[in-house]
Amino acid sequence: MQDISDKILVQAAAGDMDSFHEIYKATSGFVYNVAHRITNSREDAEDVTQEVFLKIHKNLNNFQFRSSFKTWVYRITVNTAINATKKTSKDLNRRVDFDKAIQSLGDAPKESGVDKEANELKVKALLDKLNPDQRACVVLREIEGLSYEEIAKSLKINLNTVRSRLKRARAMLMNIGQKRGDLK
Amino acid sequence: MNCEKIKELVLTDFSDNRLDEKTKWQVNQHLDSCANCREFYISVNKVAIDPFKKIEKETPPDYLWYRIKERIGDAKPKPAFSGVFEGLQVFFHPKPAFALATIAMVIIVASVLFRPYLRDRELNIYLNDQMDFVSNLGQNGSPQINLGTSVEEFLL
Repeated sequence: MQDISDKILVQAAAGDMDSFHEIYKATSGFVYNVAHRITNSREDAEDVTQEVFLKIHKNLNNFQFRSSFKTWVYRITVNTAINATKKTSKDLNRRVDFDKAIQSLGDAPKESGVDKEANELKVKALLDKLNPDQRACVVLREIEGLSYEEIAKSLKINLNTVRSRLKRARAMLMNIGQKRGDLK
Repeated sequence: MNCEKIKELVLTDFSDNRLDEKTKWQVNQHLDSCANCREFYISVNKVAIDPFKKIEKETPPDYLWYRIKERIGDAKPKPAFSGVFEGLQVFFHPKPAFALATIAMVIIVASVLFRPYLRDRELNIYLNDQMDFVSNLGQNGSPQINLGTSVEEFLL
């Protein structure tokens, strides 16, 4: 996520739409990608991204400059995405699709890492096996490259909880990999 | 360090490069000498870490900004006190039920407020009647009572 100057934040908080657009340009990539991976759906990711920016716009006046704007955006994004994931009733249908995808990938030649589409499908299938909290930790760590400290601040949890969620998530992914035969 | 501890570090701090140099060296030494843990380390990377590193990030669709901008426009803050004025409009364009309720309320309030005044008024009338009666008593202490009968005419 790109850095945003305090001046832009103040102007946006005062209602300047050009400044708010600058904030959008600097943060929307992060927001959309995290939302996409946590909800595991592009359609839901668009709704979450929209909701996140409406929340940012509404609450920018209350933003405390003592804390990091990035962390604030991380937090709003993850919370909104997790809530959307918990609310959605589409999960069950998607899970069936992913299970089929896992099976078809298991039949495909192994180590076809160059195939972006296959890897994309694999990531979707793997993320779908995790609960939303574990998914959020994995996405922030593996895809966005956040440190344990940044993840802890974003999710308002302590470092040991971050560590434990990552450990359980990776152990679970290992089991899935073994079942699929990825490890042979 | 035993294998269990090594595997725990492989799942977390070792793979995320968070160990101090000494611990990192110890883990590497163990992985060099323990085939089982080495296999575990390779598997974790292959299944639980590498696929996520390979995925490409996406950019949000262009129309999303316009959707957000439109929604912000719809939700623009209204001028201060606008809510108060909106609330008062109901008095200038009342709905029938509201008008009826208002009239009923006015009548109830008026009757409560004027009740003591009406009671005083009745009392005053009664007192005035009594005073008239007393003042009509005849001069020299004898009452001038006109009974309006033939008995009265006879006596007087």
